[in-house]
Amino acid sequence: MTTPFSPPLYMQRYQFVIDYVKTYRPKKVIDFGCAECCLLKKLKFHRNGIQLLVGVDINSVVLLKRMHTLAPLISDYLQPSDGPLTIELYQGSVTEREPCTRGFDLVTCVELIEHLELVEVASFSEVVFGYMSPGAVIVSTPNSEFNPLLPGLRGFRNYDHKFEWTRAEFQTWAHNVCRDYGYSVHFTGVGEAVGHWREVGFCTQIAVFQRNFHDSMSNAERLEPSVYRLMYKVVYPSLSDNNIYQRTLVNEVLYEAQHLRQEWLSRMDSSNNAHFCAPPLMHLFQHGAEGGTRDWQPVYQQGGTICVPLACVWSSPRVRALCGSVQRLRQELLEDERVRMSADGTVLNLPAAEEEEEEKEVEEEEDVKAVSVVANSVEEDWDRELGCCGNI
Amino acid sequence: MDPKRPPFPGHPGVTRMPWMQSAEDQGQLPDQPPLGRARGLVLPKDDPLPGRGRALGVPGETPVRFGRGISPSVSEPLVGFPRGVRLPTDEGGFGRARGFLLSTPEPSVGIGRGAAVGPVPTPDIEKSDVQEKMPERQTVVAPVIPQVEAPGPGSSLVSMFRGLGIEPAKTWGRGATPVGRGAAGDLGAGVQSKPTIIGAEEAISVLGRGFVGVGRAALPHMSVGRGPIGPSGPVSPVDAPFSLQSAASISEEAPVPPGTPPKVEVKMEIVKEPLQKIGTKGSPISIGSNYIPICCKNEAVFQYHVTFTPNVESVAMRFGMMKEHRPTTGEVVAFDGSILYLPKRLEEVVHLKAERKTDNQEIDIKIQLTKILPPSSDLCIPFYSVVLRRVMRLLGLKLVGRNHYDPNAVVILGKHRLQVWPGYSTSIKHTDGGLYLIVDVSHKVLRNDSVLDIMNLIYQGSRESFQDECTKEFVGSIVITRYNNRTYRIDDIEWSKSPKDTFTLADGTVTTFVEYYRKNYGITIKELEQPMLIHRPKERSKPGGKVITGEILLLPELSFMTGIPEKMRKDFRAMKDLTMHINVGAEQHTQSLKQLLHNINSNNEAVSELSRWGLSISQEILVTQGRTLPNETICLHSASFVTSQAVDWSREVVRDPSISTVPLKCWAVFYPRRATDQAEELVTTFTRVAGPMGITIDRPIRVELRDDRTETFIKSIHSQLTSEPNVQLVVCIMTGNRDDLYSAIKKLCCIQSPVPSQAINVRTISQPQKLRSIAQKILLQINCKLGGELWTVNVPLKYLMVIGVDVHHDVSKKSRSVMGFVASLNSTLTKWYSRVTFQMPHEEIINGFRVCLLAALQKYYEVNHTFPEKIVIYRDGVSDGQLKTVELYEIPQVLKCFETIPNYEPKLAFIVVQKRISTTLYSYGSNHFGTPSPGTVLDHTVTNRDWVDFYLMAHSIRQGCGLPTHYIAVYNTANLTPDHLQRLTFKMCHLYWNWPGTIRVPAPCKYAHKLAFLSGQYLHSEPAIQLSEKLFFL
Repeated sequence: MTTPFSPPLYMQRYQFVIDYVKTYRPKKVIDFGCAECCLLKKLKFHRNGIQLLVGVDINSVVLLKRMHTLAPLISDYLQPSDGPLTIELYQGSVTEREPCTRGFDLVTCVELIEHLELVEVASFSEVVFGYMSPGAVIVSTPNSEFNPLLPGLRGFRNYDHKFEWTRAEFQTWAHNVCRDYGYSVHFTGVGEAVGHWREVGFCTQIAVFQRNFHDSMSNAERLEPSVYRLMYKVVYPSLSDNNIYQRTLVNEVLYEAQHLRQEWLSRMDSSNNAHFCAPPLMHLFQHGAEGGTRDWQPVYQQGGTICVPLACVWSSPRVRALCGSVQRLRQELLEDERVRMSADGTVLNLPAAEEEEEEKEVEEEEDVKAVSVVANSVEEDWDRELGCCGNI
Repeated sequence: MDPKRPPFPGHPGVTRMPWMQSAEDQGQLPDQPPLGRARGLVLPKDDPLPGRGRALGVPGETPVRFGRGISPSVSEPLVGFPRGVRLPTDEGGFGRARGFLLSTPEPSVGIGRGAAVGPVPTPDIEKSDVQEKMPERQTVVAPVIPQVEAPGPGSSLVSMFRGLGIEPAKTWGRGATPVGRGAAGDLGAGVQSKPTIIGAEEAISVLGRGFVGVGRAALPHMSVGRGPIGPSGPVSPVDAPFSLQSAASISEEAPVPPGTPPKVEVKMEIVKEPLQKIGTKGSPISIGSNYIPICCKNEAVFQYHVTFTPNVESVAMRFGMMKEHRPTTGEVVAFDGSILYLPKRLEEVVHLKAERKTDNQEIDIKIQLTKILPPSSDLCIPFYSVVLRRVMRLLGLKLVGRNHYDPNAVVILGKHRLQVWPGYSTSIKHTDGGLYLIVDVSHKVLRNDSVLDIMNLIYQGSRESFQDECTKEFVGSIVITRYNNRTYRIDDIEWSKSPKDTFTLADGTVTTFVEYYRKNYGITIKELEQPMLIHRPKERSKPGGKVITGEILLLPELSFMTGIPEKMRKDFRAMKDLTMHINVGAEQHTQSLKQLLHNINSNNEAVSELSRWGLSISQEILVTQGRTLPNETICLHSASFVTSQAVDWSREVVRDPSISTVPLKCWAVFYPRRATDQAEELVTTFTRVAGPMGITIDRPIRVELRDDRTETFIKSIHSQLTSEPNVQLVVCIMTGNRDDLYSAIKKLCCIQSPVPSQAINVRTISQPQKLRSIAQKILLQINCKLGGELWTVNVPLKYLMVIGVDVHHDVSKKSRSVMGFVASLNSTLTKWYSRVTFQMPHEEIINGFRVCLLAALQKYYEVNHTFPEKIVIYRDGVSDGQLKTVELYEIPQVLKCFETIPNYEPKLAFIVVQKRISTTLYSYGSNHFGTPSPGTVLDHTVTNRDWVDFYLMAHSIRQGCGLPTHYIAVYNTANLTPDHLQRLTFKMCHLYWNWPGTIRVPAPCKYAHKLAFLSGQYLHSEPAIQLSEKLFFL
């Protein structure tokens, strides 16, 4: 089937969900019938504050095949994101009551219900709206009124479709759901025909349900046994993990401090041949010639220690971005054993000289003689062995 | 016979004179059915040279032709068997027992046999013998056919052969230890498949082999039993119980007259002959290696050819249609659009129907069995590798480039803003010992900085030369993009573009980069004025013929740097932080390997993924027997001594006189004022330590410079050299690591005013307690540069010339590559002649090589008044893929070179030296892996089936793992035995005068490397010819 839409219709459906997420910023999202996990993969990039992303499909083979596309990228480790994200994939059916699917902010069922038998649709409604009762539900399904416009189409759009609804049929179902489970709905869609055909409606019709009551799920219900099978779970590295945060911050601070120290040392080196004459015990040096805010407080040396004032480190935009205030920075650093701070927490202390290189020096051991006299008593002659005695 | 097959083109003589066709072995008949494409999957292009193109082990793609020509019988049910009877005839023309290369497919059982043997140009006397025996063979083999009729075409191979009285898997095959196999050369040695298939496959190869002894008889290690034996030949029951047994049982059950032509379409891959490459010298030791045996439980892998009628162009559509027929093919398939591999056997020809969705055209899919491969066949390796990648992913490892890394074991080096990712590089290889998984521990260095971050840093540092600095920093480096895990090499920077520019997507829409990343990845580009990075992919065609070409533009902001920063490389301490994590010892290395094997085998999904193709990976690291070569005797001027266990003679060389020294009468030292003390101190120390080494040294001309600017140095060196033309040596004492100054000094002293020069960093001579030993080292180096000789080892070959060749490539790829060439001039291998040639990126190395070789021969003649009888060339920098090119192109050129000298035909050994390999060796004892001692050699099991090769670890390991060097004797008319090759190579590893011990590669290679590096990196031009007899480049 060739679609005359650009971008392709499936992309438009995904975009619809992404736009919704951007506007309403749900924290927990579940996608039923996630199949190749395309939508989940998109949402992973367009997070907009999503913290838990769950995909459910009845076909475990397809999940197994595609689940790795949801794994964190290398860059997620290199630059952990601010907000947490967990992705879980389950094998299961939308007609089953699964306790861990409760309490979500958004449920998406993109092109799903038409694959269910009509009897199953009823239990689907009951499970999703009655049992799970998420904050919002997005349901998309083909609009059968549009079908005559699709070239070469006979019957349903897909062999596995059990039905394709008109707008009226879809809306009747939706309104019933709203009445039964306390939701309100509005209808829209993607893929419009041109000209006078517009009146057949969108190619894909979409219903967006909003829950009318406040969520009051008690934790006791969560104790029901799980019916879904967990196929895949991954927790993305993020700064909301305190360990990762601490580590990232300390690394940034140490890097910055090391950088300042190195800068200072090389300045000393070039200004008075630090190599050959010992540097003064206490040397105050105005560092930073290129002009900047941090220049007001210099790096200095005290005994065997290079002192980097915290304010110098604080001037690094990366450090700033990681923690909101100098106070917090100081607090975080005082807790970390990798950072050596002055008692008042205003100065970082770094060793002036690197630990002496412990190059293995082979000592002269005159007594031990590893040398033996020529032991090659048998004179070898490979030419003879080869049987070719120079006959050129 | 398939009635749909195109009619026989009409060579009526074929049946009776099949040998007439031998010339066509390499080509395809014009009307040949698409069978000929069977190779496509693995070998994208056919080598035009006879037989060579099939190096991957698909000998003779000509089954159809024979089948057509010979068999009028349509009813012949047996497909598998007769084709298997092929003759791995060793090709006489190339003088090597490389059975697989030109193995002629045994065309048919009866008449065709002559075809296979007839055309073989084996210059062996016993050839006639074989031909005489042929009639017997015919009667023996032909009768097989009716016997096989019973089980029918669908029956398993094993049962087929059981019916023949051949019991699968007995004494031979897997049971034999790898060492014993090769060394003893027993008949079962070649068997690499599992017992289950052996019944079929091995019986065939035994039959074939018994009577193709022709080529093999020429080998020195041939045992009697393996000679030109027909079934009635003198088969030793110990050596080859099977050829006897099977042959006998076959002939007994031979009721059908010979000449019944079988159908010959499906053939089995033959088992290759092992090459003679095992040496014996030295003491045996237990050696572990990072090779892990892979078990193939399946009997065979079946290769099919798939045709779509009417033709379906789109490969994607072909995939789709085949996917619909999974019920027929099963879930486990490897399909490239026309070649299909299955672990199961279908009917010989299967017709399936599919509908083309675009026009509802009904398509007939014909799946025809073309080949039965042993499961360890090279053809299977590509899709085994795909399986392996899947397994690695199942273990949660991340693919970066070609290797897999573990995000849960990352080491963060905050101080340097980088992360070290430990991981594995894996590959599957079919070596002499069978199918192996080769696992190496790999580390990926990733940086927390984006390219844009570093650009900002560079901008702060130098605004004027910003663009140049960026080019220097980034071009050639690898980046990883933020939105996927792909890595790209930066080839250029596009300064005139920015993220605000537009580009066209595949569907034709035009969008800006900013919009693209926002829309697709939710990424907001912060810096709108950044330039773009350019990656130019190598032109390659995807399956389906789509040629990928053009440029890929990347955003600096979204590209992370990988690899060790250049600045850090020069920082000794920073590198120590890093290498601490990267250089793992043998213990740790094997530990991580075992961990991986454990993870694979304890992961159910991984195990089942592997078992889809019948594979299972052993839990154990390969342990086999290697040898430690005998210690060598180092000869100085008068002292000589056997090397110690640590192969280190740093003390001896400074205590006893070198072989020859050049008195240092007139030399000049240049130093900036601030280094005056150090210079003075150094000169004093020189005179103190020179005596024991046998060096006489006079006071130098001392030139104190007012500053350390490059011009100051150059000007005063130049004026000194002009005013005093007898200066033997220029010594420069530099402050700091200064490439520009070093380069300027070397250019002046190597090109403009040729004179040996020595540059010394003041830092290295600043520590009084170390000065003595450093001065000794420098003095030895100076002696080499002046033409002195330090030490040697005895090489018991007369009139030998050893040549080392290495190529230096510039990282930025733009500039030319440089070939360094070093050749020995005397019998003690202490005089070296060196040359350099530059070549453009795609220019062949060989042009320059010929010039160098001729010059070296000329020089050798001047010195010795004769030409060398034996020439051994060590050629570094050749990858596995280029070996054929070396053999077929470079070596003939070298031989032509000799022809320019009248009546000159030296013996030649051409040995390729490979340093960058993934093979690691461990010593093994009492259940503990360690580093092997210097001189450890391994010449079987892990070696390449196609060549005579060996792994030698010559150097002593202080840190990290035992990385041997791989040596491949591509050409050897010198007839050096494996022992000679190995020991000569080990000897050569002793002769690098910059290091009083053994090194990883033969000294001439190292010299050539040094020379090429100096010329390419600093001189950018050929050094002056006056220096060609001195090791000025040390």
